[in-house]
Amino acid sequence: MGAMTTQQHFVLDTAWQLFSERGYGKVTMHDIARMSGISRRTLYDRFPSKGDILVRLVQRVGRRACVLVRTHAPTTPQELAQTLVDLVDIHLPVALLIHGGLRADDQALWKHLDRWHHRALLRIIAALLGHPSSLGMFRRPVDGTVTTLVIAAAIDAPFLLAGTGTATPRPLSARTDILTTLAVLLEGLIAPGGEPAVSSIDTV
Amino acid sequence: MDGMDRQKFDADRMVRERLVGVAMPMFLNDGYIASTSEAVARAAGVSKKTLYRLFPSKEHLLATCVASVTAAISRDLAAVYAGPGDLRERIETAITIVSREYGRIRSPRFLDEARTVAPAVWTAFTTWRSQELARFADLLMLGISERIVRDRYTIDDIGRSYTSMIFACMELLHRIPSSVEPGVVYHTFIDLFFHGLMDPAYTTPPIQLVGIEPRPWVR
Repeated sequence: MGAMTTQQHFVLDTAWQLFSERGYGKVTMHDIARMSGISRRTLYDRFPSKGDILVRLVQRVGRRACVLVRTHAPTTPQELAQTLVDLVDIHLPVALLIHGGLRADDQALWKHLDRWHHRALLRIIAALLGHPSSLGMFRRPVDGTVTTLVIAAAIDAPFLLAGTGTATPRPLSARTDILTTLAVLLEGLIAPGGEPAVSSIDTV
Repeated sequence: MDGMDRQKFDADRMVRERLVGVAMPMFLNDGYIASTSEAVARAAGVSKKTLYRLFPSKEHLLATCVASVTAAISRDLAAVYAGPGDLRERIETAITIVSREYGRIRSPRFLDEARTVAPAVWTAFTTWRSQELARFADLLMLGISERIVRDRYTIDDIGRSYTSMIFACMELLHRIPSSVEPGVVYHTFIDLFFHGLMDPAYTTPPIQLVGIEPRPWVR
């Protein structure tokens, strides 16, 4: 897959808008071609299928998140907080798209994207937490792999729970819920003071 | 009960206890489905027939296993709630008790299998858990009033966050291949949830995320 042309990016932007407005299942290649102002033939030349468009969209968002983390290495807790908020806001619309109607519309594609986006999320969080400038802010040597998993679970929690019958995602409060959980994970529920807390992880 | 019956009763009880003692680690390590009743019976040194005489089904065995674990946790927690002791220490002890039990789960499938294959056991477990969480919430409320627990979060937020994270960790491990054991993830989650990832020196001023807008180019 080579670099995309401006036209391809434009098609992706159009598709993104259509998917978010109507849901993936209700958008046809015909709609995407018409709204992009190109012929169906040209569209099919560039993108073999609607699924391919969605995959490229998700990949593009993943690349954007990678750039974010690479160019904004946090040096203060405030910067770390800002980068996490940015990451949540980049991730949220993609998660809504993947975990919205896609599972019912195209199970195979959903499975593929679900896996792909979780892997990308883990890579990005690992880069953020593992950055030398972040490490100094952490309580003690942290296990990067496990901490990354926990933070990823927090960012994706409302969507991981969707479809498991344990809870329904509530998109409106999803952002607030995610940010609240992340804040708790960063600072800890128990206010520091008195004796330093004995880490419960050492007792295993 | 005459002598013979008494003897048989005691012997059965011992075998039951042995089966529970052997089965629980097998379920936690290998998952509920992979731990067949044959394997459990073999590991306990009894026949499958004996197992099924003492437990009508594998699900009954799981129910007994889970009940014995939850009863032990409840007993330990009840001692903490009854006090005496420093409030901060009591909260820390309660966290350690819960965290230790989650730390024993090594199969990424165990919880999910219990939920899908043994729904009755799962329902009993979640009911028990919400009761225990309510008791723990009372202790946290006390902590909030004493400023030991951060007072920025409502008890409702804390409960929702905690419960959804336990599920989210379970679900994430279920979906992505990972060499990390679930117990380690739960353990780390509980540790971060209560003690935080950041060095305390970096948590004043408090870390706020909810009010922050994304950088303009993110939208």
